[in-house]
Amino acid sequence: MSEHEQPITGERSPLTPEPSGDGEQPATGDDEQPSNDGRRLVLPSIEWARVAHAVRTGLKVGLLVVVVSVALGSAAFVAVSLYGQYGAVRNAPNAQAWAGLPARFAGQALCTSCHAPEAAAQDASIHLNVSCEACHGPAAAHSVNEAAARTVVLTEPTSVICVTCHGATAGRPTTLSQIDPTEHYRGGLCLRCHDPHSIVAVRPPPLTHPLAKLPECTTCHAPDGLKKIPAGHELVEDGTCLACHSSVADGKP
Amino acid sequence: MNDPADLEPHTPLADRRISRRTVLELGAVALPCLAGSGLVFDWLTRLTDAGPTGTAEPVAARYDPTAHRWGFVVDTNACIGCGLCVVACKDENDVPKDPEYSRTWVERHTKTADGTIRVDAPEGGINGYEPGPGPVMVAGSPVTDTRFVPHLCMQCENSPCTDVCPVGATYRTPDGVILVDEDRCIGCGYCVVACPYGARYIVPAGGDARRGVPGVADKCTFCYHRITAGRRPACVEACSVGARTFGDLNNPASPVSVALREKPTRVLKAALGTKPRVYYVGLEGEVG
Repeated sequence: MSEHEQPITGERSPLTPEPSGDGEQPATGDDEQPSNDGRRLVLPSIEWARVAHAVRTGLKVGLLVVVVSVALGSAAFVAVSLYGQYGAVRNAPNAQAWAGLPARFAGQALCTSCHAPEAAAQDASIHLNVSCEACHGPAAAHSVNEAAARTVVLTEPTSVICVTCHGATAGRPTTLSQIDPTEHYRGGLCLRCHDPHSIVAVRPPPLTHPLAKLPECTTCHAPDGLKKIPAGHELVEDGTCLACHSSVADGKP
Repeated sequence: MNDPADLEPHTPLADRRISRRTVLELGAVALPCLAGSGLVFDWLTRLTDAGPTGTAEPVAARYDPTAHRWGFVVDTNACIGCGLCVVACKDENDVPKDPEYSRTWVERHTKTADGTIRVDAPEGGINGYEPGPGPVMVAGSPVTDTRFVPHLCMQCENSPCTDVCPVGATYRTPDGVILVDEDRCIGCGYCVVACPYGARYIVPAGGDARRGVPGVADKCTFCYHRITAGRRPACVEACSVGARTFGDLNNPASPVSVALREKPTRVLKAALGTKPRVYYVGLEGEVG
């Protein structure tokens, strides 16, 4: 091996720290190389070689200690700091980002602060637990931005909106008022009889004449008939008139 | 060869090639190494000024996450399956409109006399359910019970999703809400598979979840931005029949604490040991 030569060994050793077992190999090499035959007799030169070897060994061990210390210390720091930062339970900065999103559903209190009459009527009705935003959608933008004011205006027909909850559906609790949309006023205009904010029936005028022996309602009450239906009154399928116009004052539209 | 004795090392301890001297030398090197590593650790800790336990800044102004323990009660006796909660959740959180991406959805459980429970959830219930009386018999067995069952993230105390996340992207806050750090999530989908409740999805390309980046996991946060500001989640806000109740389990007067005291509740898939913080009223059987 070429490493038996002392100068090379002496220069390489600080740069390549090896396990301490290696420190003993050059030790015997150093002792044997310069004086193979009389190392016990030439005391001064052997002492100097031993001092030099001790210094080199000390440097190697010192370098080893520093390298291992830095490696262990930084590894422990990274492990411990990351454990706190990315553990399964943590109070992370990311949670602040989630918490910082603006809310879009403003809540009932904000709605009633402006729309007091509707709120008062609704609080007295069976709809008192129905949030404004359940039907009208998120109101936060509506409350702060003039341009977005109309985002809460309902665009879908009430036949869709009301039936979302009040259509008779399998699985729906029977405590909820339910209608069969194919039977109950097929015209589909809920607001003609119902005010969703008060549930007080806005009843159309009851019949003032008997129906017996009369033809269909629209024979007389067509838009251009004998007694016109009011302007703006939707034309409904014949036979559904009685769903709203009742001669029985039962208060149940 | 299969004799166990052959597998045992025959060399006694004294014959091994490690001398006492070597042991002492290794010890003499190891001790300063340990002392030095401690110094390096202290120095790095002081340098970064972070401390070994990470940050502890407040999540929001006047909000202490360690003071709350959020819980949720779903009353299936009250739910009418209107789907307004699903709509509200998507409006509030920019969840993609496609039914397969949902933070919350409403299923319908149809139970028959033979004990079978059939589940349907057309479009996650976002458009409600088709009006109609429903079947009287299913597969030759009379229908005994039909009810709507809203679903959402159970915010498990023993959460499989955080366990499987290989990069620590999903985590629980001290108040018990499980969130996703979209900067760390690599979109591997392990959590989507691991969740026994199907509460997670990967934000699709072009998706516009509020903080979700396409390709990362998203899920119900109990509307973390609302509850940390003293509001209720959007789905609770939108529910007209009181089927969804939210509140602080630490507060005995909160709606959830009252509901848990007054009504019999159960959790979904209790046998899995996930310890959900979403409790169900009126639910029977093992379909979750």
